[in-house]
Amino acid sequence: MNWLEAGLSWFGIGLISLGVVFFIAGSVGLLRFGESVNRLHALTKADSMGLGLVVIGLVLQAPGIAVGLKLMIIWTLGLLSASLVSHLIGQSLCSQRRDD
Amino acid sequence: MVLDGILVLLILAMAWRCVRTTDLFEAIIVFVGLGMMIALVWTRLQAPDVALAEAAIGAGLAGALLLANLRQLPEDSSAVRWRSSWLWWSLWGILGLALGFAVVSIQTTPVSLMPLVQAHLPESGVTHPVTAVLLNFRALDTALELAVLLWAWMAQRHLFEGNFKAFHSLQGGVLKTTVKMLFPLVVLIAVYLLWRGSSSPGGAFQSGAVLAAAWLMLWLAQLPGLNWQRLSLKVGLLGGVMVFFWVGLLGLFQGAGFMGYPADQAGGWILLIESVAALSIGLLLASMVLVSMPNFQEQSP
Amino acid sequence: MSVWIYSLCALGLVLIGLYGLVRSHHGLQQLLSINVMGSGVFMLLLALAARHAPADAVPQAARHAPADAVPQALVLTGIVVAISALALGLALLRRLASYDKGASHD
Repeated sequence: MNWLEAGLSWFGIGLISLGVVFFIAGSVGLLRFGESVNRLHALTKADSMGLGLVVIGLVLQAPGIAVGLKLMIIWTLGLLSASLVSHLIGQSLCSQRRDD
Repeated sequence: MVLDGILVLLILAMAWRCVRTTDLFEAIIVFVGLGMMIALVWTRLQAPDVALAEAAIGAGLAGALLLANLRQLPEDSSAVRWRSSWLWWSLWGILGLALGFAVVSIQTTPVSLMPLVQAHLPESGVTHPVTAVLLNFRALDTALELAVLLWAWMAQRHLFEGNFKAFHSLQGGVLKTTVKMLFPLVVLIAVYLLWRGSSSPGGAFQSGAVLAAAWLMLWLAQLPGLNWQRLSLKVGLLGGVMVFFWVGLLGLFQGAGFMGYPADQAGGWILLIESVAALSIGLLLASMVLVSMPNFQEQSP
Repeated sequence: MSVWIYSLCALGLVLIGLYGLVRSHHGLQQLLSINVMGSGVFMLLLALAARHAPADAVPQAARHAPADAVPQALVLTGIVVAISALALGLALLRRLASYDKGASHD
């Protein structure tokens, strides 16, 4: 039983590290891209992936089901707010473009 | 240890950028980021309550407030430019040295009130030390702090004069549907934070900040939210301070002193005060941000 | 040890905030600088609150000793007061700006 727990824990650590790589890629994109739309693209795609990987990694290490479920709720809220915010930013970009 | 070092360097760099830059928009964005980093520091310093409040109020609501005000202010408000002189820099250095000595000397005198807090925790009615300090041991401070919030809101209200600027209001079905979906969930989170506050990190301030965010969200989505003319709303704004002082006076009659509660009823009174205070804090914070919005009107849309 | 780092960071934040307050010539940035200074003060208070128990305590126990709750409650109060001060300052700036605009039109 012990090797299973150790394996899961290492798997979780691997997933979190991979998630961090995605976060870094998203942040680099945010800093390097010129157009606002491209920046949004980098941020939402890479960061949603990174967030998902980090949350799955943390769920694998959670002490109980309650904590794991809370983490999943946080993930859902994060995804929802990220997509809403990027929709709103895109909308205001469109209305700015129409004005110009 | 490495994490602490990186965080400190990042915070100092961001603070420098925030005060150095000439672009106000950039300064605000860096300030919000700084608030988030500082919230991380509070968790490193074993202060999760403060971290929650900082993330919600110091980074979230302050950011909304600053951005709402930015476009209504002129580009440059004064013609007088400051020139750096060696005199000023030497004074700055001396002050830094003096503060450094003060910080070093304060480190070597360990005074902690925690043993006292823990000794009296069983009679406070709650099991979380920070809530016990806020609402029982130092309840007067918290009541006066609510009064300060109320006073600042009133002063802001009197300074308000309607100024309507061209403003791309957010719209669309996506926003409305999502906000309708999220609103009950956010209110639930606020109640959860309040309820948790008696035994673990959380409480009236954090809960109030989340409530304020919920109301702001409704307003931004142009959904029917709060009617600012209603009497019940005014009662809600005043409620926190009122209930606090009434319960405080009640303690006086029961022989526990002003702002003291009999030990067996403390839990109930604290819960009552916290619920009303969270509502008041939420309303006050939300209206503080709303009054700053470029197209705010007294009647809700 | 981390308490030392954060105490020094608090010192740095206060000094940077003071510099920004004097240097910047826009009211909004001055308000930001005041808030940066305030964050420095909060950081010092919380760093002192997180100081470990006296040296004679067992290290293992000291690591899990809870931080002092009184400064934490103080800082919690301080954050709310800081945002009300920020809101009031911004309202004053806005009023001042509209006053200036009216004066220049006359």
